[in-house]
Amino acid sequence: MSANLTSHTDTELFGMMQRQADRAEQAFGVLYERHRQWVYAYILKVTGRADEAADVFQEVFLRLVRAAEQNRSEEVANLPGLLMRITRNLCLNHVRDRKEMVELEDLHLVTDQQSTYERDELLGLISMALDTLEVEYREAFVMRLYHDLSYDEIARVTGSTVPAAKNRVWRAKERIKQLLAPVLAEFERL
Amino acid sequence: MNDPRTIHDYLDGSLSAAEEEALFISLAASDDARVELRSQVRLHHAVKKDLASVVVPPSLDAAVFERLGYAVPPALATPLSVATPNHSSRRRSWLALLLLLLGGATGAGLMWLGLQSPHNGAGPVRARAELPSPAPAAPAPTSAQRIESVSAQHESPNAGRAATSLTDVRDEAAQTQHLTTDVDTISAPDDDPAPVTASWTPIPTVMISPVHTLPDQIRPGASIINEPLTVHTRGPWSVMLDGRALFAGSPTLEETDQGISQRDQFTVGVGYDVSALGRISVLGGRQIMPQEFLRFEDGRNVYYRQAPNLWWVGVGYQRALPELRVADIVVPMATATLGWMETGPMARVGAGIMILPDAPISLQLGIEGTMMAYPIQSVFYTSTAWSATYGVRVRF
Repeated sequence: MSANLTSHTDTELFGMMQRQADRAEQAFGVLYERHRQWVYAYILKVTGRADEAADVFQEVFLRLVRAAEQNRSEEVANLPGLLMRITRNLCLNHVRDRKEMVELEDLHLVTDQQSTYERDELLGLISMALDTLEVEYREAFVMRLYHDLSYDEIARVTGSTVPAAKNRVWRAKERIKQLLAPVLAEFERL
Repeated sequence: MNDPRTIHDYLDGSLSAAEEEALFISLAASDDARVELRSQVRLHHAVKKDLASVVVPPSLDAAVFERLGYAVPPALATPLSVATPNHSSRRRSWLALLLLLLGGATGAGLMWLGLQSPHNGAGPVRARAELPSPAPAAPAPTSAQRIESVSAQHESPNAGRAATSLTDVRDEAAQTQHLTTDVDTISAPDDDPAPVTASWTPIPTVMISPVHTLPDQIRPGASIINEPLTVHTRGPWSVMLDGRALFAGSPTLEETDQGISQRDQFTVGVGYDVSALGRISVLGGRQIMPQEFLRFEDGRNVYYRQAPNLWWVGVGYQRALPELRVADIVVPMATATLGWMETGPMARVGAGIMILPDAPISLQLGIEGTMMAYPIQSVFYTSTAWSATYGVRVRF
């Protein structure tokens, strides 16, 4: 059923959600399949918690549907941009409400271990290192290194400037590299 | 020019050509700079692997559609509601392994049909055994030429040292050059018209599938797949000792009652890793091969049914299939062997798993189909046997 719509662009699919009630469900299914992975990865990395990520993730797509229902005339030419804005805003709300961060000592306790790390443990360390960053740095780092957004795009999404975006990514990267230095070589073996 | 920020900018693809050249010179001359480059590249690796490890839980898919009152699309529906990402991934891996085994069995069966002579034994057998060929070599990096020219332009008292170092830098930079190039070439879908609600460039939808967009060097799957699958600190040579148990063939050991034991079968060999995933071995041993044939003796046809334990030698190729791996140390593999048994030529295909702990010794379990052709009074017969194999490899 939805396979018939897979060749449509994001804009066309969102337009169906806005104006074609009989095809809205299928169109949403295709859009969801197309974007769910990066949306979830972004939320997981920025919030740092799977349970919160699940809540935010659901809310993102509920809001996408709501956006289509509430605005049936305006064409959305850049659906990923819209999704990213929704996702980022919801993530920021969650993270700022939480206002708690991983203690650096906790991370050092883990990274100081000299044993061979398991894959999941190593990958978990990245999340812990991300959690030590201020959310502005964390989201810039995730957008750039995880999702390959350009600095121009990062600046637009975050409402900052390109130099500021570059600086945030650089400082976040330095911080994470410093924190993970004892175990970075282990990643090569994964 | 070799401060961490410059290296970061290089990986980001934001250095000019002149700045890149200056950086390469610095990298060639400075151990610290190369360490810093390696460290940053490792971080990029780690991030991409981390991204590849993220999977949307199926339960979350279901929750989204349930809250909307929509039906879950078939592509997202999981047959087992209790499935977790890891479980479903493993299920796919096992399914793929099962298909591989079935494929091997089918291939061996077809070979058998092609070689099987008529029951009256008339006419020679024509064998057509198509064995799996090694995978094509990966294309070499192409971005090193520019560094060569930099080296030539900067002849200096340190040129000798720089030239040596540049060899190392070339490899590293060639990899990282891919990184910047590919990041830049990720393009947004061009089917969207100019934005109305936002002027933001579309986020490339390809990023949901980094395996297709990221360079080899930081491609998580490829990096894992191309990783040597055996002990890193050992050389490419290995010795092997395998046991074998015949479980399908006609006649069976019990039917022939020749006093031969399954334990009398063995394989020994020496292997050499020709690539990260492939190994060629020289093998030999003994194997029980059931045989049924007619022999004209004393003016009459005598019908023989026997299962002798035959000596054999051969050359084998084994390829690891890490893309089907079900655990970090359990890696599927496929094998093909051509050789000669006491009574005639043989071909063998197999599939199984390698258990690769971080030690010089590894274990191997598998299923093999062996076919042999043998002449009896100018008539070729064939014999087929299916065996379970188990063995140990020691690398040195």
